[in-house]
Amino acid sequence: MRTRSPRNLPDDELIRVARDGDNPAFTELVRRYEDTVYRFSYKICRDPAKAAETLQDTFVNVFRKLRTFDGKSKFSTWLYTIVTNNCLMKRRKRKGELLEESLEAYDHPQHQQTIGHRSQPLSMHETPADLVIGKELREVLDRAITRLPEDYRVVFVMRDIEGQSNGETARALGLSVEATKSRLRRARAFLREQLDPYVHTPARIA
Amino acid sequence: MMKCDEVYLHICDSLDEDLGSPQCRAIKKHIERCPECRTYLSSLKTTIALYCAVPVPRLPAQAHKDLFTTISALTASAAQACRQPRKSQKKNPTRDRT
Repeated sequence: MRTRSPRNLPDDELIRVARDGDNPAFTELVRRYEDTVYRFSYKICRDPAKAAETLQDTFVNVFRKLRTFDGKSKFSTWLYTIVTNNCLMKRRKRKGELLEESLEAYDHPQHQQTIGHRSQPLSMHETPADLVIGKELREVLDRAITRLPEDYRVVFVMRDIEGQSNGETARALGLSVEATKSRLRRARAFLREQLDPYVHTPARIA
Repeated sequence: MMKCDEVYLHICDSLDEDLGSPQCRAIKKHIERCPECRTYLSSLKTTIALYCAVPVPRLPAQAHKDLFTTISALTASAAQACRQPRKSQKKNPTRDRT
């Protein structure tokens, strides 16, 4: 019987074969997921060199721990857990990064009071789907998310950018669903406030 | 009728998975009548959309190369370890007794 090349195996079978110690299958697994891991790391670390380092560390960990992957969660969720742990281990407090406690203020609606009472917001004519991010706005976005403590940034990235569910995010980070929701609410409120001049659009009357 | 304070605290749920829950329905009802909360929700959605639209760099060629150098070394040493257990048993016969 001819053995199928790892390249032709669907993901679940490839993972099973790699888990059984097949090195060509593991190499193919790395090839399939390297871009995903790098991009996810970058979104959390916000630094190309750290993202590349995290990429290496992640796949070394995957190689060592793949036998423990039981297939109960999605492989991507398992990967996100490893990437996140590697990113969080490397973190050092950045200049300007907020203390976690200061995010608690975003549980209170006084942050909402500014809405609707701004003088003249910069207008955004595009619909979100048509957004083209200019250099200035990109810098604002980058500055704002870099100020978020990484524990909060990870939740925002997993939920809102990667599209993971609350349950998957909670499992990957070892949090309760309630704690995940709370961090997400604060992270969104903080980022929205930082971007207020760019995201404030007049209310549409339905 | 829900108040703005409560809506503020739970408005994120109306962007998430529990859209059909009684709480989300109450939030929706409130938002339909409250221009301020409607603006707030819209600005939250735009914030998320902006972050989704930011381009993320693709994997640099050097990082790919470095990764595969590491992986080749790992898989080669694992393959070598698989071929060597008899040798190590001879050197250290007490090793597997525990």
